[in-house]
Amino acid sequence: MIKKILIIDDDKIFTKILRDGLVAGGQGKYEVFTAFDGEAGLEIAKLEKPDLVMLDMLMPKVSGIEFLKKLRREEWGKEVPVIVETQLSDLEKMSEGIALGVRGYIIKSDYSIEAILRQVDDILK
Amino acid sequence: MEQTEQYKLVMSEIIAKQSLVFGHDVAIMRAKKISEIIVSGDGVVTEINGDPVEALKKLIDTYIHPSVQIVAMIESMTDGVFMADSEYNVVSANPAARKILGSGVESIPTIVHIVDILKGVLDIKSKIEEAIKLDKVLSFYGVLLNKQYYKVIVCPVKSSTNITKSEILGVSVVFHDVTHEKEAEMMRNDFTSLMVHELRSPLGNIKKIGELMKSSKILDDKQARAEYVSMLYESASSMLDLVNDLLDVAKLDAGKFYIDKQQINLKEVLQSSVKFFETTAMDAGVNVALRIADGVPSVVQADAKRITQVVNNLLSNGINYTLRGGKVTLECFIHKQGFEISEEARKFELPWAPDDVVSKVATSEIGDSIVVAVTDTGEGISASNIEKLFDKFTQFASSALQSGHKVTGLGLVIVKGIVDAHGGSVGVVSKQGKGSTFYFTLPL
Repeated sequence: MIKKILIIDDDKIFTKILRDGLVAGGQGKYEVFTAFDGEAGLEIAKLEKPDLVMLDMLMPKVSGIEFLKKLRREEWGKEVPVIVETQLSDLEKMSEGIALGVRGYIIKSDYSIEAILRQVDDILK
Repeated sequence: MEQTEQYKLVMSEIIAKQSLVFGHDVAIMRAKKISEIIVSGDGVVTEINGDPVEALKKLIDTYIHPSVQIVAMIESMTDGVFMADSEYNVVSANPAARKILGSGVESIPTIVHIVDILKGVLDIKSKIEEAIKLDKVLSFYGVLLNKQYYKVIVCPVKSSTNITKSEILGVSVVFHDVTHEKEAEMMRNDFTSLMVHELRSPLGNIKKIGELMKSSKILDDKQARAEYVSMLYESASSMLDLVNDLLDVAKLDAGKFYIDKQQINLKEVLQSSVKFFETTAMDAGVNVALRIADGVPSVVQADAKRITQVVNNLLSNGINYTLRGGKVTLECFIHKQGFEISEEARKFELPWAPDDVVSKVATSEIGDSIVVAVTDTGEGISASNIEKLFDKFTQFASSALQSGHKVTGLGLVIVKGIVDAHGGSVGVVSKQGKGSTFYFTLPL
């Protein structure tokens, strides 16, 4: 069965690389949706009910934490696994995310598509 | 007899004054000492005047008034200061020190209490020992105590200013509040790490694109290849923009920011800015409109490139912080001295944010100008952030980080710099949940 992944990040280029990497590396297993801010992310999430959300914490309009809180308030969104994209320097601020059920994180400045694929495969298998 | 009564009166006055400062016991002791001097007819006193009351007054003037003044000075200081003798006994502490060290207003804190309060922050006992032993002033910056930062100075106290004869009596320890400086320093650090982050993201992407393009798969597909090349271009451009912004700010800080004023067509500048953001706005689901009121001259004296930079910055912020379905209006009208700009906007039936929160600009005092404004229906800005927008960019950067919202970089600092260089003013009005208006003026 094809799993749905939603990437929410205002860095359009990072989003594109990640999307291409997941589509190519997933070999047909993953359908990937993208949104460039938390607000659009919420709309797509409501519509598509993704199996995994990859979320940037620092965004305009609706921030990562705000998105998470809203997601967890939805009946279908309570259990959706979330991987957070962050910077090494923000890791200490992650406690709030962990309280909201974040499953993993990607360090944005130092990522490898292979490692992300492994992480995604692991969560979605 | 009369002299004795007068003497008693003056004496009790001294005791009263002294006991206020030094405590009753010390006052009595000093009064006795003074009496002894007078009664024994010793020293300067009787030489000056045989009259004991006059002598007493002279004594007070010579010996007591200056010390009372010094004590009053120390007592009134906002810096906390206490003195410890060489046996570590705290012999005195001013009210500020008692407050800082939390020993209560009435009592002088004990060394045990002070050591306890500074535990893990500063080993005060060994520092006192060091200062006495080496006869050296020691200074410690950024000592955190009850959420306040202090500079603590441990200074040997000597019996006399004569170096050869002086003996070290103990130390004075001064607590100078540096919370403000320390906070500014932390903001600068936050700012630096934010900038590094902003530079690292596109650089990380450039590296990743290079990696992906090295693997032949992407180069095979013509469309994908074109996409990746334009992504490379975009990433490099956004890095360059940021570096240019940093350079602009550095120029502003150094006072070396210059503009090149020419005859420009302001309407065209505004039109091309709106056009530039059409696609971005459409993607964001935000409606962008341009409204130019009647009477705006077609030609003005300004630096077209810099004014475009200002307008683009304000438009970009407006679009970024406005939710889908919202509206951003770029507007332009004439301001006349003596009128409030917000009133003038209403007169021209142009949108203007509700001004619950206003940056402190008395708009009626601004001379005749052209006003350019961007009004959005976005989330608005809180009163505490609005004051920081244009000047203390470091603080805004940090508060924006805390709330999880991405900062638009150095934009507004540069906006202010450019407008200042044109002799204009910048301002904001905002209401949370309703929207904001950012405006600037160009003098006519």
